[in-house]
Amino acid sequence: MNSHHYASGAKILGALLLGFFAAWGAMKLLDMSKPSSHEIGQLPSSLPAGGDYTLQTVNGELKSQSLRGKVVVLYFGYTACPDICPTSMATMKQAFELLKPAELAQIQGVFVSVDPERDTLKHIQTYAQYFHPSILGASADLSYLEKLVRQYDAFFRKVKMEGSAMDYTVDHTATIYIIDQQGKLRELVQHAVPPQQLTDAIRKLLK
Amino acid sequence: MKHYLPMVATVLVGGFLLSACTEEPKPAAEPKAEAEVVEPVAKPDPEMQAAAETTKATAQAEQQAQVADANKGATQDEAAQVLGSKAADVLMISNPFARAVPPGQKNSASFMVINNPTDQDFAIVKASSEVSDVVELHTHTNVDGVMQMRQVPQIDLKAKQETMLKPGGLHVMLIGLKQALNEGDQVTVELTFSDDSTQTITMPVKMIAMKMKHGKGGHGHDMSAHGKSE
Repeated sequence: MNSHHYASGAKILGALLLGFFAAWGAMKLLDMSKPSSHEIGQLPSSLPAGGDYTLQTVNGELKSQSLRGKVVVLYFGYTACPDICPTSMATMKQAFELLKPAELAQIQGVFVSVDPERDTLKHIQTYAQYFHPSILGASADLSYLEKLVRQYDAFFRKVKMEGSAMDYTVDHTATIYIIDQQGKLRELVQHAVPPQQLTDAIRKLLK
Repeated sequence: MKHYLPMVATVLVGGFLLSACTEEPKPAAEPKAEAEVVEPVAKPDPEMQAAAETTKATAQAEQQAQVADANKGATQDEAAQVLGSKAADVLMISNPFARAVPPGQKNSASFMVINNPTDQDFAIVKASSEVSDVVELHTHTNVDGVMQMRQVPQIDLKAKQETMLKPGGLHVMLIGLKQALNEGDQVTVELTFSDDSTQTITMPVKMIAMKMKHGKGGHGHDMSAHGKSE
């Protein structure tokens, strides 16, 4: 084969590849317009790693290690959130209210603000306590939070809202994490489930 | 070079056909929620039908005058169907409420069910309230578990349809609250519709509670008074 043939061969191959990827890209685009098969309430087959953390609260540092012996109910949100977070917090509040006092003494709710720019530690605490006295309000600096949410397969990002008085909103996952007495992540509770479901998940870990 | 272009064209088509025939390759794990989906969701949810104590929203005097006008040339039954009926006169708004918020909270949202019994499409294009600096129309979409709130230019109220403004979806957002919103308070929100008619809705402030047992994602609003607030 001479060099001319080599060149046409390469052209054909290149064009083939190009055609293939163009088609694949087009199909992917089409596919993206379909509704996601990921339904609310569907549990992933495997749990994220979870793990320890050190957060700031209005009353000082909160180390997850200090919560050993308690079942921890963890949530990532932000207080300017008008709808999703209050719904999750209402779920937590109602689930906690279904627990007997002796059970309540063995759990700790933690609301972690992923919007430390807007949320003061004092306000986060007020916010958390408004829903239930067993919920602590905490946060940390952004780079720490970004690392922490990855451990939990959670996600958040600031999104500029052009033309809105909100300036920016925070896209975020709304999963409730249940961590056992040894600090191990044991269950995920999805957004807007009936509170009884959260209560049941907590009870499974209580003695 | 002469033969190059037709060849490319042929092969492009060929490549497309080939890939169209084969099973679509599974795309590699997409980074979560990179897709900017900004579309209003208004899935009717029968569970939201909770206690639809159809609150006759207080229409403004000018609209009542318009009703009178509309009624002049038509019988009572036809009145609602007359083309050119003002949205504010014909839309039926039920179960409006605003979400109670913790002290020091800057934002809240209000929700309601709007039934458009007419053959005309309408929309909410603007809203205002005395309790907040700004009122905006927003929606939420759940993209692979990531909750994305976005402003929408209007909330469509399609003909012969019920549009739900409810937690987790469309809402009238109250931004820059001037006062605390405590359970039991009454607030008013003025809606402006696509035909420029306006309606002032008086609504209670409610602590949102989830339905205890059945239903996925259903919200009840029958929570007893909230206890400790700081």
